[in-house]
Amino acid sequence: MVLFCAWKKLRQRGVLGINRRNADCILDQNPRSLFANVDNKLQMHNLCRRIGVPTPEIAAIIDSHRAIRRLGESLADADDFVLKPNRGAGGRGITVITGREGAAFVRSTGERLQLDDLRQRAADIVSGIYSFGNQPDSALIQYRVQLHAALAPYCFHGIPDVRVVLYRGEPAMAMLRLPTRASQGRSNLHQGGLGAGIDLATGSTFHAIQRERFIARHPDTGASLLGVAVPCWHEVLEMSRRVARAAGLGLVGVDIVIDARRGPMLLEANARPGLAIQLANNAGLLPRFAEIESRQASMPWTLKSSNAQCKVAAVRSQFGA
Amino acid sequence: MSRTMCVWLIAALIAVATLAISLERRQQAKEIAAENGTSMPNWRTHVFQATSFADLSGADREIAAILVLIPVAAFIICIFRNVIGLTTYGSFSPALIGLAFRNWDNGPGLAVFLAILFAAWLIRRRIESLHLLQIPRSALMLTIICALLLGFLALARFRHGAASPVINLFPLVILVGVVERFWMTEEESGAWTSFRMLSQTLLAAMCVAVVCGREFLTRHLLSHPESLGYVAAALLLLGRFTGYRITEMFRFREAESNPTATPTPVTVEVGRTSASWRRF
Repeated sequence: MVLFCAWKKLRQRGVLGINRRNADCILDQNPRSLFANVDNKLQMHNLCRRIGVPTPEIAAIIDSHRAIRRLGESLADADDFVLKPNRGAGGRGITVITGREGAAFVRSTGERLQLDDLRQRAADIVSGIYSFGNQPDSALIQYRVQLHAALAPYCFHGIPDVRVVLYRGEPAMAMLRLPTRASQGRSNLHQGGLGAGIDLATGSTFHAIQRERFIARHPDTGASLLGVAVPCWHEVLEMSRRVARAAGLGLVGVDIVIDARRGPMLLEANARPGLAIQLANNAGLLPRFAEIESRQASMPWTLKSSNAQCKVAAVRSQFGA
Repeated sequence: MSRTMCVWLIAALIAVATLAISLERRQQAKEIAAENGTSMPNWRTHVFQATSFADLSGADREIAAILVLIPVAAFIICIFRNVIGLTTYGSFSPALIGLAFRNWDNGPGLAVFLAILFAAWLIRRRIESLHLLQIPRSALMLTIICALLLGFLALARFRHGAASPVINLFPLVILVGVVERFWMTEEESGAWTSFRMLSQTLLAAMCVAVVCGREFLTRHLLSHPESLGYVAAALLLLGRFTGYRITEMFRFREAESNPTATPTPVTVEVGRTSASWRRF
């Protein structure tokens, strides 16, 4: 009985559950063949290049054990970079280097790493322990995004990003993800990062959570998490639209970082976006999806303006299901 | 027709077909009993007799029993993961572990299993600093687990007992996977999460063991193997189950009880920061 009440309340709020996300959104509207577009960061990078969306450049691709041996040469004059798996998920396997100290590399957490440690990390990535299904992977050396001054008070040892969840190419919900001490500088929610729901119209935050519980202030810096204005908000939204349409996925989570010098840049996209964004926004996704569907049904010509792939995806999702 | 409707239809068809076969089998058995073996058996009798595995014995019966129980165990896992929403190490590891220990008289076997899990985990922590590549590392873990089992075998011989009822080869390989996942979860999300996941895995395994350990279920499935059709139909329905998982109701509970979503103006005071920041 208690369960039934809880069920009904969730239905009323329009919370999207994981079964429904998987069946109705991912399996029905995200064709498997398009997953590589977003799971593979290198392909995503190239896609962004094609559609003119700025994205942090990739300095080196380490795809073999030979390349790992030569890691020292590849990093000869790099002192500010991110080592990440090409097909990783959930922020796993990412090492952020913010400087050099003699031969040692300094992590964003302050830890010192030797070249051999980095080699080991690269070897782990290449052997596939962070990729889906433990497939062999490659490691990327990527430009490290610089923290935007407007967001500095809300961050602890890391870079925040904006996660926009788009349904059929239209933004449905967004949140600002902020790193904390608990998340060790990563902005992933399940690792203890903060999620602050963003009002899509104004671009400022109105609710925040940590570990699925409401939180009003940043636990490490003490700054209020409510009313934070995301810089370049409309650019961020427009960028997310372009990426979602190019990726051709019915439901996609787009992660955008705001670089101090270059403004919004696409970090990555996710074909299986998490559901915690609903907690961060204190609202359910289903009403937003319904609204987008009805808007698109009443204005079918808007599809013409998007590219062909999105049209296929949208048509498939409208008439196939 | 919507996809979900399609799935319902297929599931219903499978269930009806299964029921028809079951009734036919019962009818056949009645006829044979009534005729007392006087008439010539036709092809249908042959088919029904060949597909009734109740009269098997020994190792063949064990194989047949495991084959009919695996789908049931897998179905229980589906309930645990998709309806209740527990997280387990590997999709079907708990199913295989549960099947291996479905005879509860095998208490010592369970103790051995847990002891090996614990020992393997300790060793996994040790060899991390050697920075071995993944596949050789897993192979090494497998070797170590085999060596541990051999050790138990030697111990059993020393005590003049038989090791075969205690040691079960079945979940051996998945044990490597469980240890690996356990260790990775511990590294990434802490010991609490990894132990919680382990207990959920063991809980699922226990339920599988309890259900699959019922002798009447095994007997029924062996004599009526077509009953797997019901399992298939139920799995089809679960495959399009889009309701909330029970754990999700707790996860999203905060969203409904939280009083405020309206921005409250709070100013940042430099002097009064949170405790964790000061500690830093």
